[in-house]
Amino acid sequence: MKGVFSRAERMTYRGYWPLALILFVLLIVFPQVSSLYSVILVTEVLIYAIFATSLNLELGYTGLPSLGHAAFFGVGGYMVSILIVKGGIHNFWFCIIAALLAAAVVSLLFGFFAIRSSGVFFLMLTFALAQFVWGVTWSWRSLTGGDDGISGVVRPSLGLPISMSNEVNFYYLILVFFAVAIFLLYRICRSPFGHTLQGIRESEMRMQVLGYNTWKYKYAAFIVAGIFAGLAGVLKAYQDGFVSPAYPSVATSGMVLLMCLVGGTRVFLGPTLGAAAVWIIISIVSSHTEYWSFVVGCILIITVIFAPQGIAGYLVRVGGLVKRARAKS
Amino acid sequence: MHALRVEALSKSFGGLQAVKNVSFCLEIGERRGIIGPNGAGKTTLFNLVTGQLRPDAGHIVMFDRDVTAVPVHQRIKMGLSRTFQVTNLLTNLTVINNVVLAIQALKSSAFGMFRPLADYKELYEEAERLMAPWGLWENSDMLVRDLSYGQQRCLELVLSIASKPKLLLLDEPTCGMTPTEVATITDMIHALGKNMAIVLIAHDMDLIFGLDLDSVNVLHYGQILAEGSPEEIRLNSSVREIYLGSED
Repeated sequence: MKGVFSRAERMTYRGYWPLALILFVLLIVFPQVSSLYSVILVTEVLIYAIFATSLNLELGYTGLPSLGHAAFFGVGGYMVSILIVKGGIHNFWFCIIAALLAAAVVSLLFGFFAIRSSGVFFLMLTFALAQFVWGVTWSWRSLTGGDDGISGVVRPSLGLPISMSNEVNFYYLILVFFAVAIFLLYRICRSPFGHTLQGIRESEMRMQVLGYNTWKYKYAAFIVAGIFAGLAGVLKAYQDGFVSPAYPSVATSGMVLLMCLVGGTRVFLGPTLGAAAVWIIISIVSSHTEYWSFVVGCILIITVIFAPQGIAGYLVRVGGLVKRARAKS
Repeated sequence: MHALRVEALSKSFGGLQAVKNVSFCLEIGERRGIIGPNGAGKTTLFNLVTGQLRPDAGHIVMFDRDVTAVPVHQRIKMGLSRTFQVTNLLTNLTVINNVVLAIQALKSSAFGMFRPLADYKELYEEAERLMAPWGLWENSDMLVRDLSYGQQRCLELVLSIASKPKLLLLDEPTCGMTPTEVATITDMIHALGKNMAIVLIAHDMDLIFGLDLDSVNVLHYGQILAEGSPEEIRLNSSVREIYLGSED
């Protein structure tokens, strides 16, 4: 049927599926052929990809720039760590559901205040609210261990005969979570709800006059994004074996924002690409120099000036040019 | 029952009184023009009726329900809709997605988070019905920002009627258009259902007569200066003086 998909969407539906499938197969084969270091690195990339894609639901789809998304990452990480270390609870599914619930409750609270604003005010409000979470992790020593954080977060057993302490096994566990989370977020972005968010990004007033209660949609997007960020936090805490106030810090919020911008906010897989690019660069550069954040700053400046649509936006444009050139010849 | 009853409505911005003690009634299916010079408060009046602005005083009653304190989206659910004088579309989305979002607005499926929008075939079929007569269906895949100005104005009108409103506010629908494009918009308005009440802001009397409206209000410095049939308004000497200018 004509017109069901836009040109850009046709690319997403028909052009991306084989690409996504190839990428997924590569991700399955990858640990069999690479070093332990790379396996750990890509595990981190997968976790940050969930984190960045969740932020993009607000940033790219709804047009709300959050500088406090690490709050939910932190809540997820701390909740699971407290349950395991302080509570002695080792049931993986109980821990993860409790942590996601905690992230949902905190985003329910924060969203109630933050969603009233937009633009730079939204940025400042989310920043302030996230600093509140950071402050709690820093000061409430008896519960959070203060700046020492909480260590001893043991990997889950899942009742399987294999050990999750093995980095390759753990990689596959994260890959499953990555696939499920990205699939769910993809469906959300393609749904009526996801399209409504894009409409709000384009003109909130128009959407209100069409009959949308835009507040409700923005609030729901904020909560969904918070839950997926919480999931990323849980997985990162399991990987690291500890949590620290760095989890909900403004540095983490800034990094995930950078991942979205570098990857491209207008393409669904943009933040995933951005997470890979930014995290791999940080890891390589920081092993050579302690001034790595200088390099990261330069990347941000270069991206904003030369590729404001990010890597993915750039690829889509090049793809379009190639297609047009082929059609001509 | 009236489609719309505005009672002693007032709104000021700082020292400027944009709408001053305005009252009028609109019957079901009535088509009324509002004319007046720039800054007469016409658009402010619309913003008050839709709820985008809160009045300082007065009441707005739609279909016998006082909606003065009702938020915008609920007034839309009651059958209200509007267009904007300055085109207000979802510019970075495709034409079809604009229309589908407009149709979906009042449906409960709008909050669905799992099933892709593209699977709601009935929305696309309805979109085709709305778009095809006005040449928008051929361009359904285009981004709205790439449409011509005239087509954007057509789309503006299509979006406003997608929810099948019972009360439609049109804010200068032909503003800045070529004569051919004006003819298209006139056809579109003629094609609307006869029981749809319409309030239309217009700059030029030609449109008022071309559309065969039932009544006209003249707004001047936020107040209603005259009310009557288009013919009466044309013959009203004070209206001619302040608005139409002297005829040579």
